[in-house]
Amino acid sequence: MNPELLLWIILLLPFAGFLLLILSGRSANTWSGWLGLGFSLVGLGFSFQTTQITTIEVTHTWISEALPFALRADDLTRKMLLLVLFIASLVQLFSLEYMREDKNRFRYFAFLQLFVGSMLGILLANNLLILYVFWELVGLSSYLLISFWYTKPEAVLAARKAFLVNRIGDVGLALGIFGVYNRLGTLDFSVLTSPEFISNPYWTVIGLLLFCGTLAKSAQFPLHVWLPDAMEGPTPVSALIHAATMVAAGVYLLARIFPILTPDALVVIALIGTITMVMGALYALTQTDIKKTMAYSTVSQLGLMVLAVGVGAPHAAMFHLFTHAFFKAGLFLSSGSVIHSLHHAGHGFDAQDVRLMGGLRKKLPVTFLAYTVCAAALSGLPLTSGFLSKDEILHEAFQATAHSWKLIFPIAATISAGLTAFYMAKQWRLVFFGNWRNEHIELESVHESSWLQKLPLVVLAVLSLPFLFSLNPLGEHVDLGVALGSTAVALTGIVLAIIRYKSVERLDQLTDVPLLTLDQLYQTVIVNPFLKFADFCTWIDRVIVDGIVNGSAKSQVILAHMLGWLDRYVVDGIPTGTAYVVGTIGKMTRRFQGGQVQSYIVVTMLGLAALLIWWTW
Amino acid sequence: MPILTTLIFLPILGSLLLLALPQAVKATYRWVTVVLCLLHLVLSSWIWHTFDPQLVGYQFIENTDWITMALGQFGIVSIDYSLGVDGLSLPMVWLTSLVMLVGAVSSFEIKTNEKAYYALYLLLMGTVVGCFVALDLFLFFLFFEFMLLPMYFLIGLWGGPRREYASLKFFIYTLAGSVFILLVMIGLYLSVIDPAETGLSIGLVSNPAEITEDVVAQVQTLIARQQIDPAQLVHTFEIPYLNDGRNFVPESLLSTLAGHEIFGLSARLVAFLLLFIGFAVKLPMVPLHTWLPDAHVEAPTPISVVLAGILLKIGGYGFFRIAYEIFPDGAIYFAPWIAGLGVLSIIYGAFNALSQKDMKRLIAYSSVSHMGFVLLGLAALTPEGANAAIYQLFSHGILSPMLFLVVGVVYARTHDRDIDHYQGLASGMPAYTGLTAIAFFASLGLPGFSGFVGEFFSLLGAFNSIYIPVWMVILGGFGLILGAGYFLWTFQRVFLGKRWSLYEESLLLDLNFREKVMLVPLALLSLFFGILPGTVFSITEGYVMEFMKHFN
Repeated sequence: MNPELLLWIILLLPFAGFLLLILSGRSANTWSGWLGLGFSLVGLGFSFQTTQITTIEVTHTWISEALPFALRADDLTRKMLLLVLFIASLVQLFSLEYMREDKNRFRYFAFLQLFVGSMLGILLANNLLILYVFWELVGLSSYLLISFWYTKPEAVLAARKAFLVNRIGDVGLALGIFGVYNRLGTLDFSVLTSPEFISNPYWTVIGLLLFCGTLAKSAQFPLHVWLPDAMEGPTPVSALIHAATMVAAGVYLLARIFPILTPDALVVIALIGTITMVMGALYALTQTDIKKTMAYSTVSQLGLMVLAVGVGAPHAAMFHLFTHAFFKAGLFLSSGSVIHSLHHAGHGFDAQDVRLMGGLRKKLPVTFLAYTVCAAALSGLPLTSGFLSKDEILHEAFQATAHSWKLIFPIAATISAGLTAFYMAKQWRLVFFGNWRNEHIELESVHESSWLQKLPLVVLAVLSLPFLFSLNPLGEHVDLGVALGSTAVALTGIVLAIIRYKSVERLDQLTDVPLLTLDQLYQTVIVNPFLKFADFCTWIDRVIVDGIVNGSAKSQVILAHMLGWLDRYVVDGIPTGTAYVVGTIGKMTRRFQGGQVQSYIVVTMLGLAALLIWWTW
Repeated sequence: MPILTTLIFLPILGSLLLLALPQAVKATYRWVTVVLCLLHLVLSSWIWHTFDPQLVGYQFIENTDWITMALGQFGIVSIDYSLGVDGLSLPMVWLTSLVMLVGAVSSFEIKTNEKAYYALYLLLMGTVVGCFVALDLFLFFLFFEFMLLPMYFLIGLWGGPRREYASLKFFIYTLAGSVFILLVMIGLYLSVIDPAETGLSIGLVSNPAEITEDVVAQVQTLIARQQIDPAQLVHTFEIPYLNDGRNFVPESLLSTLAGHEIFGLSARLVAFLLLFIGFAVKLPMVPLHTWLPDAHVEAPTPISVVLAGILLKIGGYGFFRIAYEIFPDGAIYFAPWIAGLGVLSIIYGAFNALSQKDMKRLIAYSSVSHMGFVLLGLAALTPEGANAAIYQLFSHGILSPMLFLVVGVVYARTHDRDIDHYQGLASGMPAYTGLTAIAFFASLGLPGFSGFVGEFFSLLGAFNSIYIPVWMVILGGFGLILGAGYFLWTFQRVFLGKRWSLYEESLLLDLNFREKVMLVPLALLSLFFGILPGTVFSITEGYVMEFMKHFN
């Protein structure tokens, strides 16, 4: 097939699916999931086709010559295409069962298609402008999917928060794009890959502005706050968007723009990644909500990837992105399977609270198995995919930072690997082992769901094993020191967790540790002042600006009245006064001209006499 | 067929026709109006279709001598009935047809004194088109002023409870603005010569057909050397002559060379400022904007649609066509200030929108914010900025009618626009919710819709400008976040959550057919122009290239 056409089909297929589903309305409910799945599978097939061709480029004039609509599929893009479409297919397969009873599921599958299309757009973009366009559309689909259950207040607020926080990052990204365009006159990735960029402050700033996009989309500190809340959306959505694919887009962006990132910018990026990684892991320790733990774990893992870019190993970051996508999607879908089973067994309790679980391994054996494999991968245990990628990052990081203060980056990563193993072991134990702690329903009533749900779990678990990535289960070239060290740390974490939570059989021993989060800070320091300021602006508008307008209008009226007075009594006074004087004189003189001949004669005589007197004087 | 004349006078004749129709056929008024608007749209679409973007300058030109008077020492005044369209006015003319058609359909809800309403409505339409196609400043001003009359009555007679205040405020505000424009017009009259007609009047050529570029150049040389008797100079208001420095009499008030000063500022800069203020009122720009929220809140829905959709655009159009083209030196001199005012409008408008309870007020303030992007893009004086500013005018002309129609939907049902009185409308009003979501997301600049292109490239143009400091662009970008803030907050409060409202469920029914007929095409157009912005840019690019020549 014509390679250009191939790219167009891959990109447009999901959008077509979206339109088809959204316009069909509820009548599409019964077949919407199958259609979505079918579209994604077809897309997957086409994406496999691209692997047989070298780089493909498509360029159409869009805004101007310098800003075309340009698509491109190179090696990195192709792998990502396969990843996104593959996970999307599994998630939709899983959702067939998970969303079976929702009466608006046509919208759910439509939005999933919209998401897939936007995500593919990010991957296929060949310049920053096109990337930005789809970047924002991904934000939209995330918004729509988080607020899918729109009558649920928490979901609605979480969706708004996600969109707004992402908008903040987007504006940074946009400014970075302006900066690139300003210097280079183009936004093409091919220009960004040429290594001509010298270390100067301008490019450091531009790099960090572009990084703002990552900050929001990949939930990096301090813009990570939206991701835990985003768990209000349906769980398969969390698996696809908020764990495996969309949140990884930030890391993908960094890999794309890596050549223009200056050393200074990279240090900042590594620092942010480290903070995010450690903070995410610490938060994950304290959660009692099965999905919230996963959310913070995702934050932490994304931090690790960003850290990897920061120490100059974008390929290691991308590697971890891939392995993480599989095992984290697996973990989320396993959690979804647990939640779904509990929902089916009964209502009236929080089906996501691990304090209300326990001993589920006997009732949900497949879920248990999948969860165990994926959790091991997340913990970075040997013979899993997570081991390979995490060790590659650690290896690279130790090498790049040896003999400098930056050594804290890999050290922090090692410590957080231990924390990760700890919280995963804790959750694994609380959910699947020990006694059943839920008084609302009987353990006996919990059952595994159908194969529609089990199949994706199994597939993802298998892909969390190392074989997809390396023939040698311990990696092609093992750095023995790192491998042994990180394994030891992980095992320590697991052992500690199992000891610590061995005897927890009662609820009150597991309370939510109240943690200060940035949310409260943002609310008091940013959001509330903003709203106050908005009210203040309205006050200015009403009182000051309109006050001046109305005041000048009033003063005009007053002036008009004054002028009116002036007009009546002064200006008009002159003619009126003159007329009065003339009138009075006229009245006086009128008497002399009454038409009586006698009086004329008298006056004439008097006048004559006066003249004569004057004359003779 | 003189197509532009037709575009102006078709609605005006329609207005007269309505007056002649007897009350007995009252029901046909609205259909006469709709049909005329539809015909208008067909005609302006045809112009769009036949317009050649490759050609420089105006097309579809019509030029007739209108008023010629000898004023002795003050020369000869020549006012022409001169019309034409170029890449700037063509999108605006098309937009006028579109928005007026939508407004006409929306007007079906007007129930009182329909004859006068539709007659005034069509009169308004004619004058607006006149504004966009007039090439003679005098003619432009005539339409610009005349427009106030129907608008004043449309708000003042069919408006809400505070309609008298609002319509008077609107009227006086705009009138005050146009006094400034009038002052500059007089100055321009004294300064600018029509070289072609002057060539005739001094006998250089004997026949209008003989006027060539050489003759014009010859006359311009004579003007420069002051070798023509002032009584024989033909003064003009023709915009194409006004923006050419060679047509200015040396030593005249607004000549580029004379350097006259008013209050210590060059006379040309003062003239630019006066024009700027005049059009800034219309746009509107903070702090000259307070007439807008009041006018919108009181105006009936169709009039809000027209006000936001087209009347504001005349402000932006005036900047380009008159203030900037004629006084590019002023535009350069004040560029950072104008950009600053643009950013102020963006931010201040957005903050105000954030705290509104009345949906219509909120949308009105969002208009102020969106028009700030026009100022910012314009002030940049870069091709990207100028293209984006025109595009933003066009895009807002599609989106703001949509926003006001959306508010009109609840208002028509309950006569209440308070955000706090509704919640969770999504349950039960899916079509309404979907179209509102499109209007909101398109307006907050989501890529794929037209709003994105205007905002993004205004900022990009401003970033590339040598006149605008970067911090202003950053603040402008901040406006994008605020925009998302107030739209999403409103959407969440009114449409999402559990269904609840002050009113009975039976009142709040989903969109009817007529409402869909208005909203769906607008949504599709916003999508169309958002995905294929080239359809507009290909028209405006040629104009912008010419426009930019003034600034080099």
